[in-house]
Amino acid sequence: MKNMYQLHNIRMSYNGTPVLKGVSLRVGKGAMLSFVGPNGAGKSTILKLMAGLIKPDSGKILFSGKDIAHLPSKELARKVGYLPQVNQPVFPYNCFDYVMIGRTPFLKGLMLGGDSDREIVRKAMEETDCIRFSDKDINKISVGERQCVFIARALAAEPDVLLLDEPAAALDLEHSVSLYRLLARLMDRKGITIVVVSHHLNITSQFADRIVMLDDGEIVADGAPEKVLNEDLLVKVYGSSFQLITNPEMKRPIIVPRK
Amino acid sequence: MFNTPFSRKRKLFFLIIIFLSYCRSPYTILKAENPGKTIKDIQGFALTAGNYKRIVTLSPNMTEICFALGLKNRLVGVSVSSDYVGIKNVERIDGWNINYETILLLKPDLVLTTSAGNPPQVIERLRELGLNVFHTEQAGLDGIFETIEKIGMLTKTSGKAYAVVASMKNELELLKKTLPTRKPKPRVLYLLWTNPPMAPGGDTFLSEMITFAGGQNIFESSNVRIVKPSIEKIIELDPEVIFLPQGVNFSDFDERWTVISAVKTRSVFHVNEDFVLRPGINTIKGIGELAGRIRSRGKKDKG
Amino acid sequence: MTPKGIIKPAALIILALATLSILSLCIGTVFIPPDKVAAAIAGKITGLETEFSTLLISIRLPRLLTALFVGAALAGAGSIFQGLIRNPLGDPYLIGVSSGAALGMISAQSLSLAGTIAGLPLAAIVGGTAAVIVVYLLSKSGGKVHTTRLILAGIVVSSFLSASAMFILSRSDSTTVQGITFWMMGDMGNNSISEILVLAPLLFIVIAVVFLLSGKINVIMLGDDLAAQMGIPVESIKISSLIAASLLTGLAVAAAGVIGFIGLIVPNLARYIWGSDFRLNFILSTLAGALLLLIADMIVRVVSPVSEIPVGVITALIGAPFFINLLIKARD
Repeated sequence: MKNMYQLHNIRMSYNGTPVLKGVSLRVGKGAMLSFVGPNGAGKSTILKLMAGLIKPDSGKILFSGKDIAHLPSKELARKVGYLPQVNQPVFPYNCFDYVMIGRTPFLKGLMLGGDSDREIVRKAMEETDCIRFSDKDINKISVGERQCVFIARALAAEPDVLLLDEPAAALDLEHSVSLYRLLARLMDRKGITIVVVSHHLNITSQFADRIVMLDDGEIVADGAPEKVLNEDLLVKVYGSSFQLITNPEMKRPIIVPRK
Repeated sequence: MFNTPFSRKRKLFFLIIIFLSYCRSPYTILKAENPGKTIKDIQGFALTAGNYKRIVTLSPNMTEICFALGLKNRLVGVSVSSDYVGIKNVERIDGWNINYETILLLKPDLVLTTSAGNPPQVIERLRELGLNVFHTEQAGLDGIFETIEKIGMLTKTSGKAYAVVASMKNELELLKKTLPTRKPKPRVLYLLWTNPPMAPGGDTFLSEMITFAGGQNIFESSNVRIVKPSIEKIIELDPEVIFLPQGVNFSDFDERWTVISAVKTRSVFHVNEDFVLRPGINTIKGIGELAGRIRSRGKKDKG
Repeated sequence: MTPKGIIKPAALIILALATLSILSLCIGTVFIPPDKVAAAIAGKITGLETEFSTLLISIRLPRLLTALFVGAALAGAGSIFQGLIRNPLGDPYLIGVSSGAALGMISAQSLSLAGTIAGLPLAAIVGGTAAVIVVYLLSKSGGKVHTTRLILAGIVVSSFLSASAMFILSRSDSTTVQGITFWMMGDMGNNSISEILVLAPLLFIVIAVVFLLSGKINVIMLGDDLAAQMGIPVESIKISSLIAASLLTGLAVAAAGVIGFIGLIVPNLARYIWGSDFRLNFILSTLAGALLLLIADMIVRVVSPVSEIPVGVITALIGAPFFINLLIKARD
């Protein structure tokens, strides 16, 4: 199956306010797609729909050719790793045990996990470079380190797709870049399809293969960042004047404000 | 045969014999009532009348009744608040926060309880433990008399019991004679507590006692057991006599009370709470004290 | 988190429980050495009763069992509430369960519906569950239960139910009132063996069910969306857990009246010592709760043999400073 996801004419409202007004798109395998756009554009909603957390008011979502509405959530969970916006546990929690939670779709009973599960968790933590936190309390490590543990958790299900809702929101520059580098690595090495929702248009543009810009519940741009981002679009969507310059090394556009 | 003069004497003789055979002396009456007879307590449980030798009372009025019936030496345990009668060397048991082990170890053959003195779950539990529990209620004077008589029958001290009851009834009659017949009866406030003020409502024994004592409970018309009136209400009803709980002095009151008649005429009294608040053998004495105080109330405003 | 990680601490607590249980049968108004205790209990079965047989079978043994069951039930309920609302201040009383259970029992008592052995416990469970349902409905919005709303709803419902209970008490005759007022502070000595044997199986079943669900509840504790996306039926498990917690509290209140702070202290202590994984926290809380209440009850019996202090006083004396400490820590 070439397409991981096919979204057909998705409409969604919250409390009578329309959030998605007929969105259609296909997500191919093994690339990084980034949803961008102003607040309230519907980005998180699309991700939740793709994760199977909510159902659209109308329209169809196909995952690997199957209608998501008829797919048992456990089955979807074995293929799709989802990282919500807010994650931090209230109580102290051991990092290794936390990543083991990611194995939930495969575990039974008390969900303690066997040796093979522990091996998978170890690998996931190594991939995300947080294995050294195995015995630490997740609330006692730094924000950037914690984000790696969260991603390890999503990876522990050995998914084909990773859906991440603003994964770099709380991170500083260095950690944001590290995170995207990690995502790129996962994509290259393991062929995982990455879908992120991002607020930081600039950072995400450096790494994503494809930008889908949403404004007021509709797709207003879809394609490679250097092809899709232009000044007129930015004015229309964000309302201020910007100009674009090009990242000399990675050849991707960077947005800077005009005076 | 029965019509000759001799036969008429015989007839009379037979008739007298037959009549006498129906007439028994009080002693034989009592004897006939008690042979292995069962007495029912207020919950309907029946105990056999007998010479109980290890009695436990869980309420002070029960202790006093036992003393009055001459059962002092058969008590192995009494309630902690049994203070009126002099008791030594007897185990004390709290009738509310009860220690079941203590009671069980005393191996009582009879446990006397009351509804005012012991909570229902305690009664139930004691029965569950296999003890002979005799439960009574003293709602009113008739209830008191009945309790004394029943315990008398139960412990084979009916003679004493009837004597005690008779003496109480006598005392009550004498008391009634001393009561003024003039109406209206003086208004009485009996304060069970002062912080907040609490007084008995109409449907209580205490209210009845006040009536027997020649007074009128100002909250007689209330159908709540315990009334918690505001000071304004008390002032409005303006009692002529106030009874205070033990330990509270009139000096503890503030000036709002000074407009009340009872205060103006200095008719604020204490009574022996053991007599007045314990439905038992001293209840008539209690009514007597109430009556005496009511009668002695000041009539004039003493400033 | 391995099976050993659960079994080791559990075994430790069970050992302590066994030791203290034997001790609790020995102490009281008379000290009965363990061998005589065994003889007395065995005697009841073999027919060779000793002087202490009734004392042990009818008083000390039911009391021991009551302490164990009520402690386990309250701590278990506290663990569930804290896990569900993700707050260390979660407590059966906060959610209004105990007030509901108490009101249920007081109403049944006033209306004289408490006929059979099962009457009052049933009334307590019904009252507690009704309170939980009302609190749940009040705190639901958009198909989900929100933590803050749950706490607020719990406080509101709890206050209302307590006020209703007080109203009924003020209107009833003094014997019922005085009986209930004492029980409201915790009465451990009120059960016979047969009453315990009626309530115990239900307790075990509920604890077993929650333990089996504890893996799923653990994931929910880490995040609703997280759990939902991984295929866990979040709403139905939350509801089941709430009902289980209210059942546990209802049983505890029916057995021994209102005892506070066990549901608050024990799960927090367990979390402090063994971590916050719900699988561990729940089962160890139930065991530790049994232990704590047993100790509190032994203190009560030793310290106040004549006029027994209600055990709720001891738990409050330990619990209040503990609670204040938690509040202070939460501010950081």
